[in-house]
Amino acid sequence: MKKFIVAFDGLRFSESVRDYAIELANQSNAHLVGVFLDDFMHHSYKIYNLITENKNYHAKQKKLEEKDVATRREAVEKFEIACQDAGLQYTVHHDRNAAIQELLHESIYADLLMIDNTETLTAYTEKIPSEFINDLLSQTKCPVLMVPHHFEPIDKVVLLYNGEASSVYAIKMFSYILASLKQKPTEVVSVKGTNDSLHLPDNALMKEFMKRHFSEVSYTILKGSAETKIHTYLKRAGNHTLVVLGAYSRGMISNWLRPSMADMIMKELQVPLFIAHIK
Amino acid sequence: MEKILLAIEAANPDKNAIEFACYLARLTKSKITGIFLENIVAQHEFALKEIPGAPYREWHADERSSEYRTRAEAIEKNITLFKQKCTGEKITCRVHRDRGVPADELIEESRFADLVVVDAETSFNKRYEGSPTEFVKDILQKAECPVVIAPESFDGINEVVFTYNDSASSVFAIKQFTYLLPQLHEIKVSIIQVNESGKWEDRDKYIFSEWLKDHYGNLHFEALKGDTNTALFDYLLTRKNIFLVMGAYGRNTLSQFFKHSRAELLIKGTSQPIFIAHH
Repeated sequence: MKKFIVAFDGLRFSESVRDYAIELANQSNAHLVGVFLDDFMHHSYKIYNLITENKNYHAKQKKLEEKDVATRREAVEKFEIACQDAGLQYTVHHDRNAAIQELLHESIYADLLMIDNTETLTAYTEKIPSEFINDLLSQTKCPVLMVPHHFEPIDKVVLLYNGEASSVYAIKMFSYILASLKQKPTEVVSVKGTNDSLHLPDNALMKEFMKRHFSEVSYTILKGSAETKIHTYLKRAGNHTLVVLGAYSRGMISNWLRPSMADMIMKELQVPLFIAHIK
Repeated sequence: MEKILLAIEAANPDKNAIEFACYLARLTKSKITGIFLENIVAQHEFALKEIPGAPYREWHADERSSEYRTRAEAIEKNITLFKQKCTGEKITCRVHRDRGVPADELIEESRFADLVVVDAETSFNKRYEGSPTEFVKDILQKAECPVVIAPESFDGINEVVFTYNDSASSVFAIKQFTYLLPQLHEIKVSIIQVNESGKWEDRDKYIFSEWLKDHYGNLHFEALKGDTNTALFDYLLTRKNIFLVMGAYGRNTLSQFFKHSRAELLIKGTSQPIFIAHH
């Protein structure tokens, strides 16, 4: 059976990722591991504020710490109860060291990692995608399912394909790992330049490959600028759509020059996004 | 797994590679695409031909030579035999004929395939190259899907051996093998590590086992004492009917393995299929 790991910040329990995890683990009959990132440096309060507010902050800090421990315990309970109700095989991991390192390490030994796309693992609010998510996506050792902060059941799948190795790789990984979703209506979407033909890149090979892996696929070619067209198309498709995407741009320079497709989807749309990339 | 690419030297097909690919196809109910490769430049005699209407002559493969015709007939016969073998074993097959640079053709097709099966001695040079040949080394380096080096003789698989060295890339190869061959999850699996102490050392044994137990029922952990390459090769060459997954070691080690085993093979006559995946 597959091993799906779900990343949780015990101090800001995401019910959405829990719900997506339960639904997918149920459909796939997978082993669900709740990874609680109990980073010892991460608290619900900001230390700087605490120290500057009053001289005798130790007592107040102790109380806040106790409150954090209780919040974390509650989070674990919420996860466990949901798994038990669904009759799933589950395990809980408490990772107390630096969150990003722990999660990357866990991803080596997992088939899929699920996380809420608003996670920051800090007491600060950040723009999507946060630094934590950025680091995670560029170094993850297994495919990642980024879910929106609000759960909707998945009704259909869109595979974004541009002829490049990484987009096919993502489709392959999706096919091996989330095989249960292959029964949903599936659509391959490509964007070509206005002066290009309406053929799918590598038409013959791609269709031969898809025919064996997916029972029912439709193909859509859009023309124009990739980000704009995909944005409009997915907005119309609605929030019950799961989007599969290869490649996550790494490196600051490429981010300055062109916001990546993944970032656009995370920021502007409320759909679950399956990302897999080759190093 | 759904689509297996089998690299075949059109003029001189390797029966063992075909045999092994058929075994995998039967096991996983996949389709085989036999890629009949020819290296036109290296293999054909060239002659100056006059082009009607053009005021110059060009070098073309001499289609009138008897060598060319014999070869063309032999290739047609090989293709027919291959198709007959597949039909006999109730395997769906297709034939692609690639006449350009063999390695490039195969690499292009591998983007849209789940696995490539190749014989270590596949060569397009007239001289004997030793194994693995330049062609095979090229494939191993650039293929966009995992590669299996077919065994010289095949008697069934009783055991799967994973080589592990505590690195993310060794787990990557193991994961890819698992996604492609879920039908082997009941088989005996040995996880081998080579170190100085001869005892299994791994701070990640718990978390690695968590993943392994989800996928395999019959696990054995073994540590080999000594220097990496020699200890590993000696151990492997004594085992029969195993499927070896080379996660832990790069291409250099693989070449050394072949050199080492060449010498042994003459004495012991064993060889195993080797699964290689890298990112």
